[in-house]
Amino acid sequence: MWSHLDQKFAGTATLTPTAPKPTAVYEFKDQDTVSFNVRAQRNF
Amino acid sequence: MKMVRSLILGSTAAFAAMSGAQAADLPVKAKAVEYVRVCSLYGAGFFYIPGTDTCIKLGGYLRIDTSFNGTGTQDAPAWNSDAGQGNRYRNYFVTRSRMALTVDTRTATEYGVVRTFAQGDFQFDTLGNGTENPNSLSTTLGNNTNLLNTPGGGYVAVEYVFIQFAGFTFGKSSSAFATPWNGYPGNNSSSLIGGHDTVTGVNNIQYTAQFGNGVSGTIGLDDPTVFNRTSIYNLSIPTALSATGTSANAYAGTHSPDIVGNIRIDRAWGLFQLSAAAHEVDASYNTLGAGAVPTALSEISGHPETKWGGAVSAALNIKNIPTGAGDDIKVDATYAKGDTKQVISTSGASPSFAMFGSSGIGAYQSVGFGATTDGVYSTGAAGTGGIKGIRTGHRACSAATPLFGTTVRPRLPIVPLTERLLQVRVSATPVTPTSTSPSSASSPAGLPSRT
Repeated sequence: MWSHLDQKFAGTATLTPTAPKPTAVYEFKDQDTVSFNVRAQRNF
Repeated sequence: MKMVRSLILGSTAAFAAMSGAQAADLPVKAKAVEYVRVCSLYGAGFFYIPGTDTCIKLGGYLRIDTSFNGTGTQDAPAWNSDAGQGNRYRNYFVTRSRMALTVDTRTATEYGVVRTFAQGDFQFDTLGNGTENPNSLSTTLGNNTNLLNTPGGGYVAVEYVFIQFAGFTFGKSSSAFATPWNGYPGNNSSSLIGGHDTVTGVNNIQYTAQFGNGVSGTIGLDDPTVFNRTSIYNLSIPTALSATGTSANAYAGTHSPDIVGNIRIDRAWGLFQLSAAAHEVDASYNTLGAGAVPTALSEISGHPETKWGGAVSAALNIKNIPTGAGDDIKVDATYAKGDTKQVISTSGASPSFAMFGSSGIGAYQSVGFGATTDGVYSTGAAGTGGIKGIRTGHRACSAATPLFGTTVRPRLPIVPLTERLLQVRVSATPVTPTSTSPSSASSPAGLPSRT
């Protein structure tokens, strides 16, 4: 499953995200991720 | 098997002979065998509980899931926490083994059929799901269900638990706002964003009236406490917002259930449904400490006026499309204000988003985030003047086709895996900006998902 995060900020900002991320300059940008699920199932 | 049975019979005979000898050689009278009596009134699989008029059906499934690159089991994408950060704590894969056991009973009474239904899930997951972070595996939390996934452990999850009688449904079931497919128009992910999902059941009371020709209307009252409330942020709290826009939840106690309902037409060609929901958004206090906990100044600071949010949804299902037997198309669209759960929803809680990636302009990294809230408020001269409801909306669409033959499908329900290949969900425009500063604004976030 592909998920796309469409965000509306632009530019950069100095942020302190949750550790272990450092306080640093981060660029605001849309993000994408792909996940995959494998399932074996038997109904009864 | 035959040999075992004869052995048992043999030992029974021996005991019978012994007791028979003690009871002065009286003949042992064999008790008549009572076979299970099939109940054919409610479909296949029912039988009478011996000695009663109640029919019972035992069912369920055995399921093994492995999710790759996610925050949790059953395909939760890497959209927040350690998986969203892509750091060293994230697990590359998450597993779950589950036995779902369902018990369905029907009793014909003078006033109609009484039905009970319940489903329990016995399951064992990857410890910590998507993360090995010590903060997530802390034993000081007390209520950390992750910690039950230790060697030899596991836990029980409760899905539907309800009674149906004379059009009423009491208990834990899908909301009257929900579509029949909840968050699964044709997929096997429990995290397909965009639209209501109470597939695991929310405590509610419903009444359904059948008007004939497949037309029905349902009204319901849902307990909003854990499902329909995402969060309210009090932006006046010092350093209220994290770097990725989230804050502590400042909801007050529950005063009113969510009022929900739908009108549905269900025919051979498919299904069309309109549903609506009203949701109370009530915050605790104007002055709160860090983590939205009360302080000695909270009560005298007052509180923002309670508001009502709501949502509307339309859903369409067209069956028997010409691409193949059993194929169908499902489309639903939802708009919500102050009732974000109806749009940003999984089969569990409503997530907030914080995803990190590479930067093309020389910054340390790039970030995209979105906080999921029902409303925000702040006090003072620059305040919001009360709770501002958050607007969310989406359109969703899926086309499902069974790639396996229909004769195989009932036996091998692997079909959703193939169905989701064709499923599409498009567009979302949630979350209005509430502040001008990027570091303190509740983020605009859209999260369409595609497979």
